Amino acid sequence: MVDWQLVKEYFPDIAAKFPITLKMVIISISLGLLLGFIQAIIRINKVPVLNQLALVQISYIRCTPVITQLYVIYFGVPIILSNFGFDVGGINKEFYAILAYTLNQAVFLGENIRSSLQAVPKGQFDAGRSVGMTEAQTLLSIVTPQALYISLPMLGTFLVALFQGTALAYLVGVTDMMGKVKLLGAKTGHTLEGYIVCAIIFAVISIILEQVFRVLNNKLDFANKKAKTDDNTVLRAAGGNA
Amino acid sequence: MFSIKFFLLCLKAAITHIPQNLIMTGLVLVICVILGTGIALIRAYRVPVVCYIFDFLMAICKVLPANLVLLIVFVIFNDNFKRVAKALNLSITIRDVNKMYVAVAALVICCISGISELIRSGIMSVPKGQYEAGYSVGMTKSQTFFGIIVPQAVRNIIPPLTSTILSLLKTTALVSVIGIEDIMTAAVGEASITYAFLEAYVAAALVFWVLGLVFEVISGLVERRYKKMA
Repeated sequence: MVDWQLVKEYFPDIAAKFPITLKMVIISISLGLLLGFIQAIIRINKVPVLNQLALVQISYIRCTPVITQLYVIYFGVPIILSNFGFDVGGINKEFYAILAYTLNQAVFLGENIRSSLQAVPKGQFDAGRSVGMTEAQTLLSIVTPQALYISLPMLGTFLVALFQGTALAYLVGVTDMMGKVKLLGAKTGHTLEGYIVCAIIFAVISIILEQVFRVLNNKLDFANKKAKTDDNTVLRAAGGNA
Repeated sequence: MFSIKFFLLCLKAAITHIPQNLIMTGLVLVICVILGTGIALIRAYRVPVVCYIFDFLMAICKVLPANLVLLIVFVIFNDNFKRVAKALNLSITIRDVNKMYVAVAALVICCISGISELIRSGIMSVPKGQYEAGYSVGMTKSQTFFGIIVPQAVRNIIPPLTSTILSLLKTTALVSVIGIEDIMTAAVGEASITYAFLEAYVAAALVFWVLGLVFEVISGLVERRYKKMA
C-alpha cells in the first residue's frame, strides 16, 4: 500500500521546504504577539472606536475557519492594493499566508495577553506608579514581564497550533512542505507517500515543541515555588495554567 | 471589484449547504463523545497495557494537522476501496459511497484527542473522597461510579464540550480540500462560473460567522446555567 522506498526518496525534497513553514510561523507569531499586545491594551483601556473594532475582529476570527480567512485575504487584499496603485503581480504568495496567520494569531494571543495582564494584581501597577515611574514604564517593565510569565503555557499551545495551521498555506499557492507534495504528486502520481513524510515532520516537530514548553513551564514553575512569592495571585495563575 | 449580485448568488448557495456542515459536526461530535468516553475511562483508570496504547495514539492524533489527516484518509480510501470491497464480496463501487462519511471518519481522528482529553479531565476532577464516600455507605464499585462519579463528571464536562462544538464546526470547513460538498465548496462552485472568488469566500465566511455566533451564544447560555448549579 505505502511504498516506503518512495517515502525515503521524498523525504529530503520535502524536508528542504521546512524553512518556509518555519519562516511563516516565526513571522506570524512575532507580529501576532505585537498586534495582540496592542489589542489587549485597547481592550483593557476600552479605547473608544478601536475597542469596538477589536471586538468585531475578535468575533470574526473566532467564528470563521482559518481556511476561509486565508482565502478572503488571498482574494481580497490584491483588489484593495491594486486600487491604491500597487503592482499586485510581484507580491510573493507567502505574504498573504503570513498576513492571514498574523491576523488570526493576533486575536487569540491578544485575548490571552489581556487575561494575563489582568491577572497581574493591580497593586503591582500602583507600586510602579508610586515610585515615580510613568504609566508606560510601569506597564512595560513591571506588569508585562509578570503577564508574560503567566501566559507562557498558553503561548506554547498557540505555537503548536499555528505550526499545524500552516499546513493550509499551500492552498493559496505557497510552496511549503504540502505544496511540494502536490508538485511531486503531479510528477510521479504518488501523493500518499508525500503526505506521510509531511505527517512525520509535523508530528516530530510538534512533539519537540510541546516538550520544550513543558520543560520550560516546569522550570519556571519550580523557580516560582522556590522563591515563595507573597503574591498568591501570580502563583495561582501560573500554576493553574500549567 | 466586489459585486453584490454575485455575492448574493454565492450566499444563497452557501446557505443551502448549511445542513451539510451541521450534520458533519453532529456526527463527529457524537462519535467523538462515544469513543472519547471509552478512551478517557481507559486512560483515567490506567487499564494495564491498553492505556499506554491509547496514550500513544492520542498523542499522535493531537499533533497532526487536520487537513493532512483528511488528505491521507481520503487517499487511502480511494486506493483501497476496490480491493476491500472485493475481499468482502460487496458489489458496490466507490461511487455508491457517500464521501461525507469518509470525511467524518477523518475528522473524528482529528478531533477525538481533544474531546477525550476533556472528558478525562472531567472524570479526574472528581475528588477521590467521592469514591471512598460511596464505598463507605456500602455501594458497589459500579453503583458508586454511575450514581456518584458520573453525575459530577458530566457537570464538569458539558460546558467545555459545548464550546468545542464551534471548533468542530470550523474544522468541517476543511473538507473542501478533498472536494466534499459543504458551505465553502458550494459558494466557490457558484463562483467558478463567474470567477467571483472573493465574493464566494466572503459569503462563506459570513455564513460561518453567523453560525459561529449562534454557537457562541448557546455555549454561553449553557456555561451560565451550569455555573449557577455549581
